[in-house]
Amino acid sequence: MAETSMSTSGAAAARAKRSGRESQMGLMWRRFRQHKLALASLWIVVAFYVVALLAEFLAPTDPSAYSARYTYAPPQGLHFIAQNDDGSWVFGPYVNGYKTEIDPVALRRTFVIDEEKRLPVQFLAPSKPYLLAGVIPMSVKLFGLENPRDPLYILGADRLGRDLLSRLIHGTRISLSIGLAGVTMSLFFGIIIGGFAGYYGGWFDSAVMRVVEFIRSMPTIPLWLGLAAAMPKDWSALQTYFAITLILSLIGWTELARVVRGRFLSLRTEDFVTAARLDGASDWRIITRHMVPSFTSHIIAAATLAIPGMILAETALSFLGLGLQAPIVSWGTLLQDAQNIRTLATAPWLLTPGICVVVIILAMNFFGDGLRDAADPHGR
Amino acid sequence: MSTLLRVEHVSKHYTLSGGLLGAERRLDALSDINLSVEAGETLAIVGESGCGKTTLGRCIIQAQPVSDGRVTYHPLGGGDVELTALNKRQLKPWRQDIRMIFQDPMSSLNPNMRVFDIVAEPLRIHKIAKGKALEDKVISTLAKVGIPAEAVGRYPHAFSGGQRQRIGIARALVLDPKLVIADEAVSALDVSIQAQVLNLLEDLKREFGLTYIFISHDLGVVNYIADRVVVMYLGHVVENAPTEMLFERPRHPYSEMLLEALPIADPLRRKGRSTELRGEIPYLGNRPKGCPFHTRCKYAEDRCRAEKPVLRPVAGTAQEAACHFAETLTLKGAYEDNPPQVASAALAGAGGLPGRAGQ
Amino acid sequence: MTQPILRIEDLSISFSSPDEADIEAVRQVDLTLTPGKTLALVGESGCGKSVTARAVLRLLDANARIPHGRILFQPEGSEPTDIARLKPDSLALRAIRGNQIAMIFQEPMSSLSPVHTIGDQIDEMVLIHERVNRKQARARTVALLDQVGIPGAKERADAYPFELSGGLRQRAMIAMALACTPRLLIADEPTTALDVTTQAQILDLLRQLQADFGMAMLFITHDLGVVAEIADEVAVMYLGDVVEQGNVFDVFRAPQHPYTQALMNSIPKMARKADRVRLNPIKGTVPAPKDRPEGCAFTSRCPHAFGPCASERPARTVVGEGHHARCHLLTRQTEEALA
Repeated sequence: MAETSMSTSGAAAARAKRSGRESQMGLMWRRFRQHKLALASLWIVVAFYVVALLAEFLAPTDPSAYSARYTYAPPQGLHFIAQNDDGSWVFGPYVNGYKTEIDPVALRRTFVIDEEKRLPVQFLAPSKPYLLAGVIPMSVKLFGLENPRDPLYILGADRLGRDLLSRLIHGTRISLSIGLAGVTMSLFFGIIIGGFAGYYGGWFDSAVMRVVEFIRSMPTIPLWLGLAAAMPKDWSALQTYFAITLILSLIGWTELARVVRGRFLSLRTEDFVTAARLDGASDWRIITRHMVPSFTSHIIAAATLAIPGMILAETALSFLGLGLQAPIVSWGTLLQDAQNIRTLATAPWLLTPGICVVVIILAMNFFGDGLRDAADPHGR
Repeated sequence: MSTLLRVEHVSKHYTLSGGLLGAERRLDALSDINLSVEAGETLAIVGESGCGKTTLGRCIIQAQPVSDGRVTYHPLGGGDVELTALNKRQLKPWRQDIRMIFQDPMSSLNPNMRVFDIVAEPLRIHKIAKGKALEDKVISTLAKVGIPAEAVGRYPHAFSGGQRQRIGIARALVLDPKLVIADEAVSALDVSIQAQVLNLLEDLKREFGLTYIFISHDLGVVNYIADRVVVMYLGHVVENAPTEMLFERPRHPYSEMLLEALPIADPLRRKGRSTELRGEIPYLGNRPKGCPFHTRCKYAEDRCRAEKPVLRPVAGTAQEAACHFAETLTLKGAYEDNPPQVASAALAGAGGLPGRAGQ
Repeated sequence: MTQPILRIEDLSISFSSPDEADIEAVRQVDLTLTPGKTLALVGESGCGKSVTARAVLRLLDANARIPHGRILFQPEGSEPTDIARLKPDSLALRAIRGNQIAMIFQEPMSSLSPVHTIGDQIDEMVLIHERVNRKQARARTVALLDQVGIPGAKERADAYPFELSGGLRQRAMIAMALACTPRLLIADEPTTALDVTTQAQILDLLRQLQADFGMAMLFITHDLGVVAEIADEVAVMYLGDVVEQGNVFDVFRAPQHPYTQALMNSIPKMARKADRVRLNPIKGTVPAPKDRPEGCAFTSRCPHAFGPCASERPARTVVGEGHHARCHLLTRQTEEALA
């Protein structure tokens, strides 16, 4: 891996290839790069995770700050060029203000974008002090309005006049991290249980496999529903978060355990593993030094492919109101607002979290497929 | 010559489960194998697929437990070590003395490790050398098998099949073993590479005073490299003889059949023999009663179908055979006694045997 | 002399790949096959012998091209067809494939369908190529299975491929290839996966069938012993070039190309200990096709390489009746003799 890390330039990789000093990981990366769709997906996934990591910095306003004055305010959009009345051009980002109109028929108050009013957007706008990712104290946001009292609803507002963009950014953090945490926990159980089953085989293997089959034969949604419903209502947001992760990985580990066990079983009979045993190596050394490195790539691919399932499951549970609860913001709880048709008719922008779900799930799947193909070029 | 290793009454059977409700079945891969390996010799174990030769090799090196019987190692310093009675920890020191070379040069090297680490691994496990000493030992061992020092940082995928097999040999030799088990070590290689590796094995044997157990299906190679040959059929040793005697006059009809079937790389020695070779190897779980070979043996009589012959010395020879009629049958060997008129120097190698390289 | 059934003339096959330059896997190949005779194509892995054989049926991968050369197929009493110019999967080609030219492979399991009995599969072949009904087809199938030496042919026709041993499977495969009495049989390492006693049986069978049907056979192998057993003619390939070809007796008695000589010196001789000679292997390894020397492909490993070898491709030199080799040594000898 030393010579061919992810940042290696093409020429260096070619040199490594010629000299045969390219490791398995290096080879895998080279194969992965030929898969354009997977490569693009990788960047999308990375972008989403960066957003999740820097949520406080990127979100222009506090996701829970509400304003009764701007319920269901439509998306302002972000503009860069404007023409003044006198025909001169102004450059620089701005958003339009709102004006209120009373619907003469329904006598309902609606917001209309006021093309006349331009509210300039300022980059690195000062804000109230906050902790980035809960650690770094900061008092500046990526962007904001010069006057913090003006409305900033780039993607629109919800029923309570909260900024959808800010909520979406914070929701990304929760939804993506729950996927990651769920997969990590699944991996932990999956590798340990699957590894033992695969390496030692025998009755333990049979027992584990029967349990896995049993769990996988249960319909997941009712199971999750049941478990989620059993959660005490008075749990704190953090407790719920971990409980949901645990519930998700309860199913998730079975798939990964199967993958790990399968790799162990097939590697156990490989000649190089036999060779290590005949060298007199201990079980621990054989597993850690010879077997695990040979299938880390497969595990990474399997785990990547498991994340979208987790995200979807969390979204589904929260959407049904059984997963995370307000005030926690996740894509699922955001979509909860878009549950009835009337709301959708007035504020279709509330479906934006759904677009995010689709994009990240597709990207993760393409990325995972690419990884899998690169790890296993001959479908071995 | 002293005996280096003794295999006594070794049997190996597998139990095949018959599915959820089916009855279990027993598959005898090895039945009552007896043989000894003398220090300094090359003992070949030959036979067709499924005859148990690979299983025997793995049972000797304790890659698989035996079902019954003993494998005893006699270190050169004296003493007896019953390998089959030792646990993993007790076995470890003896793993230095008995090493293995694998058939498939692709799967026997860890693709994630550099060549240096592959060869250094046994030294590290046995804590034999460290730092500079380790480096020197690895480099010099690789040099012995013809892998240059500048290539040690590469991964196995950068090497050809023949070079990988050399690396496998270096891994076996780096612990200065006494006995090396080569399981079809040249079968997967192309003819020209096979010849290089055979020469290398020969040179290394001379240089380090090694003893080889050479497992192979290729009698041409066996005739070239082995001092003594054990012929196996359906998990039995059917003949155990010094190479030249076996190829001159085999004492078991199966040995004769193998020699008969061997294609010779000389069109002048082409044989018409449709009638000589009969049948196929029976399925292991369906072994015939009596002599295991009687179903294909053209000399079989009633006694062969009823009574199982044991491996015994054939009177008046140094050969052992498991055939009721070992003394009386006159079986055909493989050497050509009256070679056709060959004089031209160009023919020097043309009368030889084929190598079965590739897959 | 019988008219040849297949003439391959100056055939090249190249493979394109997305990130590298085209690789010429086979170049300057000339072969002639005659009915009733067997031509063995021998060489080490990667020499292009299988590619050449597959080209005859146009079974090459999508990235393969035949930039030049001709594959003239001419069954008795008909006009020659240049297979190299036919479109893969064209009607004209399909009429030849399986009907006039049949092929058997190293691993019969991969070319037999695992979900149909062998009888059904052979019936199918018979039905495609002959105007018979199912019952007649089955009768023909049983006769074929019997002919290839499958005991209890009638019952075995109802067996699935996995129920048969490797040897029987290969026999079934041969029966299928013979279903339409081909004029030419291409056998690609048909005995490599088999044990030696089974191999000997299959070689016997092929020899006998050839005598019965009078077909031409192109036999691909890496095993010189098998060549000596079965071939009438032999062509030795090295890295895409046919370096030597001729009558099997001539080539084995007096190999002319240094590669053929070296190959013969690489195999252990069946001799007693006293007559044992140390093997004399070819140095080094076969270079990758992209590193092939410009001139003679064997230059980098040849003990006799001299002046023109590295840069000039040697021409086909006649060294005996129907015996050719491509080596500069031979042309030099001729020139010296003339001078």
